[in-house]
Order: sequence, then structure tokens, then C-alpha cells
Amino acid sequence: MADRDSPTTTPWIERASSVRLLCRLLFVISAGLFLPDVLDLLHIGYHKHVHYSAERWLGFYAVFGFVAYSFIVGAGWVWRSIVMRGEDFYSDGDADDA
Amino acid sequence: MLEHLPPGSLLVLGALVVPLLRGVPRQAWLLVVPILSFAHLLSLAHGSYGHILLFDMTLTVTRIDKLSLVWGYIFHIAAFLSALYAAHVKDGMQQVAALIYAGSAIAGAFAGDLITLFVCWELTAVSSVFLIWASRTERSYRAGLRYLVIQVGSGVLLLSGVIIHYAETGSVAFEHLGALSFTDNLGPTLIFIAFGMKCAFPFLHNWLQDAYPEATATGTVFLSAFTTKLAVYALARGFAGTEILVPIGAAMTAFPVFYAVIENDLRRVLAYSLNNQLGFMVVGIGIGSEMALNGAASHAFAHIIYKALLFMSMGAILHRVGTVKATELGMLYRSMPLTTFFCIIGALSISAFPLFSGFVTKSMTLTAAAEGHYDITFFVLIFASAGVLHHSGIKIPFYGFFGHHDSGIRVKEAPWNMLLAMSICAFLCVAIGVYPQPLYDILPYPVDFEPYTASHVVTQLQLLVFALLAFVVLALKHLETPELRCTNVDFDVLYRRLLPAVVRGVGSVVAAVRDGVIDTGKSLVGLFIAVIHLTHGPSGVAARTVLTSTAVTIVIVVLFVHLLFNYLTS
Repeated sequence: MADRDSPTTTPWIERASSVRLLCRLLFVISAGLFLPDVLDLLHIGYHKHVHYSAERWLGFYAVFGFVAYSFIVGAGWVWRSIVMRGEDFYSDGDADDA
Repeated sequence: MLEHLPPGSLLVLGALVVPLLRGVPRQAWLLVVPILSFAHLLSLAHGSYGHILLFDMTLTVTRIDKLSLVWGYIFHIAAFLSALYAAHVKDGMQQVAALIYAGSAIAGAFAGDLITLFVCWELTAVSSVFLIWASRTERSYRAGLRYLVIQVGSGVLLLSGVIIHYAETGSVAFEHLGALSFTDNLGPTLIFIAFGMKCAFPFLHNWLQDAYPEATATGTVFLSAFTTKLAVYALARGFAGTEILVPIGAAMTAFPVFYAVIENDLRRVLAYSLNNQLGFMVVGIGIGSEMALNGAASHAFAHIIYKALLFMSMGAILHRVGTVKATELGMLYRSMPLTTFFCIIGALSISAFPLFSGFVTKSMTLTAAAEGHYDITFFVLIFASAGVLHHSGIKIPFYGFFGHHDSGIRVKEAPWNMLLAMSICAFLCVAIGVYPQPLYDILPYPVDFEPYTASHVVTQLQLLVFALLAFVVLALKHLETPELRCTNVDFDVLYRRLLPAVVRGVGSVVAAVRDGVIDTGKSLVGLFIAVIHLTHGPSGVAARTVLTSTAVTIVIVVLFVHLLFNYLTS
């Protein structure tokens, strides 16, 4: 692991410090994306064009995106427990030729 | 003379020349033919050509209008880029099949009548299966057979529908085919189901996820472009505004997401993703407004390019590594940085990030759904958009080229022709995203839509960036669904396991009944033989030999009885 974190051998993108930096950058961008909705609520410079009243809620699309993604991942755990079978379930030839 | 040939026919004719060529001339020919075919298409004016009287039916082999031209253009682009991507392939069978497949799909998009469409429909089915069988494995052979049965079955339904439609209306013109009804409008209803099979409607979809991942690395790129999009075109031509398409399309956008999230084979993930993208187009066709149909057509155009790009990047991995299973890969970006870059461009495009092609096309369908007051559908499409980000935006590039661990696999970068094809696709993804006007100009209806409004951009970024944030949070908490070597049971379990089990069960019952009948028959015959043996056997009454004196005694007794009887009765 020490070798992986060594700046001299590990590519930039794989370094823990780089991953932390990118995560923080994403947090900042995410927070910044709330700003237009605040401006819309305050009627300052930005007007959100909506078709449904729910879209006007503060951060509607942000929350929707976060919840939808989390739901998909959560549903994946459940769905996998229902539909997952062994790799040779259909037993039609070699399993590793994909 | 060329104006008498339908668009795409040069590709089919060009395929016949391929076996006569070798080496570089053959590779060059495979690239030149799509260009010649495209030039041929451009030389043709709008209108109908090739009227043929077949029995009492008037066929219109070629009909060129704005709707068919969208598919004509993109099919030619796809044929050229796929041929470029496959330029290193030496397999003549694949090369011939690919050209015939592309040519027949193009001809199908310009078919002015249903008979011509049927011929092209079946030709795409028969030619494309060779791209699957070209893998030359037992799996691909069986998957190809299943694919062929379903594709040809779709053609049979189409032909049945056409015959009934012709009997009822006296026309085989490929126009809007009217409302669906099993009682009053059976012909168009059968045609609709045939289109639905090829378009991978829910419960009719599994041929796609079954067959595409079994094709060759280059074959899947061809396959991703033509079959399903020809079906989308057919729906747009024959069933625009058919309401049932809206819930069908919405279901198509949503359900594949749950399979893509747990699938280990990355080409199968893309097959589910393809199904999801078709859903957006089907919804647009179902809504049927000008904006919705423009959305469906433009989405088909952009989708063919970015989906081809994603399949190309996975094909490059398959070509170099020999597998595209997420569990086997990790940190391939070190070996294949350019392929990684192009894959990320494709991922950004399919996720519909602003400045990429998916954004300027998909948002048209979403707006049409909202303006048409398809409330539930609208939110299903938004949900599906988050799903697209998951399986195609993140999962494909992340597990294909990065992953959680270093697999230790070190390979060469993809061949130059693959990289060139991917770079052109990536360029088109960005070009369409940045400057969509040329695409809008070729759409069937005038475009009254501005994708780059502040509201569009902000809401889309909020959706995608926060979905990305969810990925990061879940990954940091180790709550992401891990990649596992597995098979996920889908609807095809019905015909791959359940149906054979039922057939085996019925067969065993039939065999048991047959054995019972045979055993009973044998017993009866045995009993009969025993009785015969008893009476006619060596010691049987009938077979016993008697003395002459005994016989004479019996005769005398009989005569005496007869005499006595006559005496008493006289």
C-alpha cells in the first residue's frame, strides 16, 4: 500500500491525496449548484423554467439525482439477491469467452 | 442507372466483391463502399422511386423524405466508422456479413412499402447473425441461434401482418398504419408487435442482451447501430402518436437500469443501456408531437454514435485483454489512455452532460413529454437519466479502465484504426453537443427548441452532479454494488430454462404413457399367447392327438345322440 501511495511510482489519479482533492472539488461544485436555485427563489438574475410545481422546490433536481442514484444502487442489492445465479447457470458452452 | 438502385444497395453489391479481393485492396474497399453508397444517397432527390408491380401490389422500393434521410445519413456514418474500426479484421465472413447487414438496414429505412421493408427486415436478421457466430464459440453459436429465431420470427409476424393489412385495405404502402386492435385492425397490430420485437420492447428484449455481448469485438459495434434503430424508424414511420408506446418506452428506460447495475459483463451492461436509450426514442414516438418526433430522430442519430463509441472502447479492451468482465479488469487506463479518454467522451455524451451530444437530443424528448403533460413519464425519464449516468456514465469507464484494484494487466493501446474510429466518434459527440444546428437542420420537422437555456443547463447539471456525488458517497461508504462473476436471470430464463424444462417434463410424461401403453400391450399379447398355448400348445386340448378308436367312439356317441334326439322328437 505504501508503494501505491508513493508519489514517485503511483500515477496522480491513483494517489489517495488526488482522490481526496477530486472529492472535495465535487463537494464544492455540488454546493455551488444550489446557488442558482437560491437565486431563483429570490428572483435574482436566474429564472428556472419549470413545467411542474415540484421542480421549483429548492434543489429539486439535485435531491432527485442523489436519491435516484442511491435508490438504483440499493435496488441493485435487492435485485441481485433475487436474480443472481452461478456463472454457468445456462451451461451453454465456455463461460469465459465473453 | 444508379438512380434506379435503392440506397444501401451498393453496400450489398459491394459485399459480393469482397471475396474477390485480398489484403490492402480489400480493406480499402470496405471503407470506400460506404462512402460511395453515401454519395449515391446524396445524389438522389426527395421522392419515390422503383415502382414495381408484384402480382396486384404496387411496391415502392425507395421513398426519400426527411424522416428516412435522418436514418440514411446516420446509418452511412455508422457503416463507415464501424468498417474503419474493423479494418484490422481479416475474417471475410464478418466483412461480407457486415456490408450486407448495413446495406439492408439502409434500404429498409428507405422502403416505401411493407414488402420491401420485410425483405430488408429479414436480410438484416440473416446477415447480422454471422457477426455473432463469427466469435466461433459454443456460446456464440447458441446465442446466434436464439437471436436468429427471434429475428426471423419478427419477420414472420411482420409478413403475416402485411398480408392481413393488404387483404383489408388493398395497400402495402408503408405509411402511418393506424390504431391497434386485435379484432378490428389485426394486420397493423401484428406489424406493431414485429417492430416491438426488433425494438426490444419489455419481455421481448432479451435477444439483445443475450446476443450482442457474444458477437465479435467489431461485430457488436455494427450490431449496436442498425437492428434496433431500424425498428425505431419503422415505429416512427408507422405508429407515431400511438399512445401505448409512451408507457412501453418509459418501462424500457427504467427496467434495464436495475440489470445494468448488477451486470458484470461490460458489453452486456451496454446492451441493457442500449435498451434504456431505445426507451427514450419510443416515448418520443408515442407522444407523436413534432418536437417529440424530432427528439426521437435526433436521439437516434446521436445515440448511434455515442453507443458505437462505448462499444468500440469495450471492444478495444476485448481485443487486447480477451475479456470485458469488470471483475477481471482494473487500471487499464495506464495501458490504454487514449481508449480511456474516448470512452469517457462517450460516457459524458450518453449521460447527457451539457456540451455533449446526448444533452441536445434527449432534452428535446423530455421537454416534449412535459409539454404533452405526460407527468409520470416525465419523472420516469428523469429517473432513467440518473440510471444512465450510473451504468454508462460511471460504471463503464470506471470498471473498464480504473476499478478498485490494479488487475496487473498490461497491454498495448488499441490498434490505430480502432483509435481513429473512436476519435471520429468522440469528435462527433462533442461537435453535435457544442453546435447542434446541423443536426437540427436535418430533422423531420422545423426545430423550435433551444437546448442551451440557463434552466436546462443548470437543472441537468444538478441532476447529474448530485448523482455523481451519490456515487462518491456510496463508494466511500463501501455501499456500491460489488462486481461479481455471475449470471443474472432475466426474462430469457423462460425460453432458456423454463420452456426446455416444460418440454422435458411433457416429454417424460409422454414417454411414460408410451411405455405404459407398450407394457400393457405386451402383457395382453403375452396373455393371449398363454391362452393359445394352453389350448393349442403341445398339451393343449386343440393340439392333442387322439387314437382312431377314440375318434370312432366319439362319432358313434354323436350319432347315437342324434338318433335318440330324432326318435324322441318324431
